[in-house]
Amino acid sequence: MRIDYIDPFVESTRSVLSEIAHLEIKNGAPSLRQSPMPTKDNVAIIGIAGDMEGRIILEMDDKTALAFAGVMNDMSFEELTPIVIDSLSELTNMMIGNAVSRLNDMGFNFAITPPTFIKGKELLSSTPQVEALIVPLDTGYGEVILNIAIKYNIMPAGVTIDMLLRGLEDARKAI
Amino acid sequence: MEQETINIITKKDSSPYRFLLVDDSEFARKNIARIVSMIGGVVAGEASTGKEAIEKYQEIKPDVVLMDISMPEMEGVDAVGRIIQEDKKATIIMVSSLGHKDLVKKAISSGAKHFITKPVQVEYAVKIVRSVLEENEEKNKQ
Repeated sequence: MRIDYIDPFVESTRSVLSEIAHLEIKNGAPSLRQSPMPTKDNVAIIGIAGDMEGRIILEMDDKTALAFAGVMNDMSFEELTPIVIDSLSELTNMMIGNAVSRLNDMGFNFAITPPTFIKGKELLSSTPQVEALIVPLDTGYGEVILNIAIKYNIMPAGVTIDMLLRGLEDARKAI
Repeated sequence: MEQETINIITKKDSSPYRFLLVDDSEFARKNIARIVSMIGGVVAGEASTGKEAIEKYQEIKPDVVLMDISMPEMEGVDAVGRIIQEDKKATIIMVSSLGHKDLVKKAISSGAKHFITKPVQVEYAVKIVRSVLEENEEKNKQ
């Protein structure tokens, strides 16, 4: 069971959000979604390639997005300005970059694309039907969803995403 | 608070070090610029791609380049190699969210002097920049 693929993404997301916002970040219960279609209005997407391929998507609503951009820039924002979008893209880049580095140091081989920030509804036409692992995070500024939509190029025979999900749930309970 | 505890770093003639900041994120450049300012340096230029970094380097000849890795057009490590080809004494420090060992080795072998991982810890970044500049001063004495 390759829970070691998933865990660095969750841990790096928690760690970077916590460091940026100076808040305790709590994991919610992970679940499976038949499609990576986001449920929140704002998404930052990073493409991933190598031992697995797909997208890691960070979802949040307007209020949460503005709050994180505000704390990152030490100022308040009323709308999604270019610097808000850039800040959230960079936030996602730090989370996923840190996770990929941890995985690569463990002997895996992953590469990432620069982040893209878009409104959730615009993702509709370009979202491949890949099963997504959903990890909600309670940040104190609102819920942030880590949406992991990947397929495993070197998944060992007999291992499914359901097995990964059960492994993540076991890990969460053990915390 | 941090500004009160961090000593300013200047050249021997007391002039400020000039930095070129390279990152495709405006937020990241602003964040690094804040650190440059805290140590008494000045931002001589900014670039958002590796290709633009090479052009800016030739134009402004900064004392230090703070270079991201994952960027459009040309990645940071490739830009380091190109800058070092033109100026073997270029002082380049990588600042990236990617920090796995193989990548750090690749950056260093391309000519980067050090590596800082994002999110940038101010005290750590200052320590690294200071040590690289001091090392340069020592080399210049020899």
